[in-house]
Amino acid sequence: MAQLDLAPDHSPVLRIEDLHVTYPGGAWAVRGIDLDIRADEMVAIIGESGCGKTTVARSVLGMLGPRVGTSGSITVSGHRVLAHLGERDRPKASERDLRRLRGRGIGYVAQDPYSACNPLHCVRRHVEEAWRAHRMRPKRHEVYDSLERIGIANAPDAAEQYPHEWSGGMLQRATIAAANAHAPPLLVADEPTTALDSAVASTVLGNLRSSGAAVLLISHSLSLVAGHADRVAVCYAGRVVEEGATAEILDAPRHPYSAALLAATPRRGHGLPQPLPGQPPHPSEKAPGCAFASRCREATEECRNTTPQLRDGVACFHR
Amino acid sequence: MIVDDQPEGPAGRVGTSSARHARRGGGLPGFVARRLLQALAAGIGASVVVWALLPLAPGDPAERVLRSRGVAEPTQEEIQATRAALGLDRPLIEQYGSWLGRAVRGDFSESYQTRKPVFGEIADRLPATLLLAVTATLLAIAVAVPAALIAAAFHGRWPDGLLRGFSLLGAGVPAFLLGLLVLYLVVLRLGLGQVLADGKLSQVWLPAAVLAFARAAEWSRLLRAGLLDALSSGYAAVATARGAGRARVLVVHALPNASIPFLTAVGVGFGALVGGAPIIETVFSWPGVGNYVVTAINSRDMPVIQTFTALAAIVYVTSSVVVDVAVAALHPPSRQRT
Amino acid sequence: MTSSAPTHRPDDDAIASQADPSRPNASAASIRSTRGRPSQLRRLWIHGGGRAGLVLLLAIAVAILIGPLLTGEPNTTNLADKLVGPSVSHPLGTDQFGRDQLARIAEGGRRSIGAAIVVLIGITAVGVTIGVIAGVSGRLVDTLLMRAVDVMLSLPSLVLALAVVGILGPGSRNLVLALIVSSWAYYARLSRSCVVTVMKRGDVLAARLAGVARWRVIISHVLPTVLAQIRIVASLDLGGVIVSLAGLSYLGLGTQPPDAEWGTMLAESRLFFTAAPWLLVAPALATIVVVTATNLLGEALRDTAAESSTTITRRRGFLWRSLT
Repeated sequence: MAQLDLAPDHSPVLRIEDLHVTYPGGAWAVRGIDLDIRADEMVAIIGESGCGKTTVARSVLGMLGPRVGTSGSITVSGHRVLAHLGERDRPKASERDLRRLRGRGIGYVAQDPYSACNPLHCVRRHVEEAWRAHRMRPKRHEVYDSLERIGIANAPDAAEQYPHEWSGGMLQRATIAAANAHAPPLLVADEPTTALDSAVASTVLGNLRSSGAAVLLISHSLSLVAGHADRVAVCYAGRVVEEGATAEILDAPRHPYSAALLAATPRRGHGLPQPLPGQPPHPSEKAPGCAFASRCREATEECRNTTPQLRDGVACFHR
Repeated sequence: MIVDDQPEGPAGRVGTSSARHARRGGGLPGFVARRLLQALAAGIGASVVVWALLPLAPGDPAERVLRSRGVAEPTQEEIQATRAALGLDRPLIEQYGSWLGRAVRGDFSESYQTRKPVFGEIADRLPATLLLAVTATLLAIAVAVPAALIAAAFHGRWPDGLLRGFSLLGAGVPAFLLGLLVLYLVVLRLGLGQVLADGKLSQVWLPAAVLAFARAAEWSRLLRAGLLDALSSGYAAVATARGAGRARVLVVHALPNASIPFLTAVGVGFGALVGGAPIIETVFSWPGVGNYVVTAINSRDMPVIQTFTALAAIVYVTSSVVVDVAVAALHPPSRQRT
Repeated sequence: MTSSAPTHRPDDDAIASQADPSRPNASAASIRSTRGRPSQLRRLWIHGGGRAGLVLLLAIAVAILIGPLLTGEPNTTNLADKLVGPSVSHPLGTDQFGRDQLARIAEGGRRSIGAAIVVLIGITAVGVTIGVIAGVSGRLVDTLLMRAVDVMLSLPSLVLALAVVGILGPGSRNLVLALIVSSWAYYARLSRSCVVTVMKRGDVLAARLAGVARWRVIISHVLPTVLAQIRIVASLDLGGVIVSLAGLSYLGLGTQPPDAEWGTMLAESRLFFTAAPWLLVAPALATIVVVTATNLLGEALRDTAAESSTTITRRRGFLWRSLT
């Protein structure tokens, strides 16, 4: 087995530069995203469905389809997942390199734990997959330890059960245990709590937080990640519209979209939630200007004609 | 790449997690018991239909029996006597009861033609029919599984197109037609094999290959569809994200999951092979049950027709039970009571 | 491939791009397809397999309907010309009685396809009636009917058809009857499950709550949905029914000589295998072409059908497995 160099001195753990992703058929899922995640940091990408956040997660894992067009660069612990076009000296990682990186350099937690688990395999086999995928055979106690570490009691018995016999929260924690099996420097969690009851969501996010890895958390709700993420990047129509410390954005959102998102979620002391009217633009639309302009009360002529760039943590002409 | 690349998936199964609270799924023995009970009920229902074939047949049964024995113009007394001898004067429910009682003991009365017990006649020919059906099934599986794996691995490229052509051909060329063409080309023109088969293993290949052709085409297509379904599933994406290679995802994760509908189709297909024996055995002069039944049909030999129907139902129900148990053994969630 | 009706299903064989896992956002597809959705025929034509099936079937229909005008009577015997190979006056040769093979193929095609359509109409009539009654009735009737369906389904159709022909006696009318008797249960089960789904649909619930009479709800909401579904299954089954008819006729259970039917012709050709192979090849090829054409068309119909009616009929018609 070839060695995977995951030296900790590569900072940041994840660096995304000017990422663009287009799907066949002309849908622009991601239109230029920059994001850095340092070690031990949990960064959340927030946005409605269709804003490209899942595509970012897939891009980091190098799991976009062969016909998907990409540009920009992604580096995980110094390993290139994606390189800038024309960067001949630092080419895109081969499928073989990517495979080595997945699981050991990047852990992945999916949205729905039930569909993330092969229904024919017991939970132990699911956790073991983290090793077996790399042609290793874990000792039984290694598997049980990884489950118990994340708070699953009586792991040797429970792990022989099948996914459908487990509760969603428990199972999601088992998949976190599997994602964390090789203690990767980066965990990518794609809406890990959306399919769960809200009561267990916090525990699951806590498990992710305490994994010791840098975490890229994908979520649709600002308030959900409030107590967990260090930083938040608010995403709209394939671009980051606002980025900053979680507390700052929660207290005083600067971009009108962040404010609208926040107003749409029920929070203590903020009155009734106000739903955001309108629809996000379709990914195939390539109109100039701020993508949010059609739903924004403050939009001016400038907003409709020129795309605002992310400056000082916010992409808006009025801040 | 084998993941579902939908940019933002809908929130899969939100809200169902509480419905699937941790409950121990039904065990395999319990499932087998329930399934056997079901099969028994279906079998009893089927036996009513099979029995009803005789009373429902047009014409007076007693007269039919007499005619088949060579009595051209039976008198009223003769008919009455036969009626009483056959128990036709008793209530229908009683007739069914005594028929079922005898059938369970293997007594399906005598063939009108040969005057020998039908059970023995059929039992003599059954091994040849089963040999043909089993060989054809195994051949079809041996072709279908690799073909589907290759097509799924090269989805959208030429091996996939090749399989599509094969399956279209398989669905368009019925087995008996292929049999006739093969008989003409291979046996009569090339002089390989024999026109009249003896039902032995050495001669099973040609008819079995003909039967397997359409099955392989259908099954490979079904399995390919299942494999593609599984490859676009969440667990395949997660296995890939854990670092598993394409081959591992395909064989370890997709294939067992895709085998579930595949196995069901194989079970139904095997039952249908036995049921379809009359046609293909006539084409190849294969000395099995089917050939015997066709002769019986042409001479309206009711007990033989009835016994064959019962046999086909038994094979059909049994193979579906075997398959369901195999699926339940493979797929724990399906053991649960529905 | 230019499909403007991108109904995505992973098991879609026909068009690689439709089953492309890296397709754009699903909502994009639905937006595009609602805007100016092309007609059914247009969608069939765009679908590669559908176009091939349509063209083939059209050609067959023309050949079968116009062919006899050019070739004369199918049953005219002429012993002087018996077992003559293909020639200008007899393009497909003649049989043992000197009858023109082309005329007989055309005549046989009319019989085979006509009988298959009658079988499917019969199965649909019986199956949909029973399925709808079970679906809208109370528990008792539903259970009784469905147990009867289960029993019918535990007997392989082909065997049951054999048995029914066996007791009724051979003949094309009996064969059609036998196939209807042995196969309706598949359609009954499918119709019932479709009815149960439709009865829970919003518009149906609204109509029932508004006090619309039950029979009216059934006629205006339930039946159209069920029939749309059944139409697809039936078109997928057409090939299978043609095959079973030909197979059973081959055994001598269907159309009786001297009438021409493809299965019967195949059976007759066996005696002259070596001397007159054209007698085998012509009806065999005719059957294969018709079955392939109906398969292509059936699959195209399924692929291009509205999204709502594609869930149940994902792979094949229902009769196929048990009949062929």
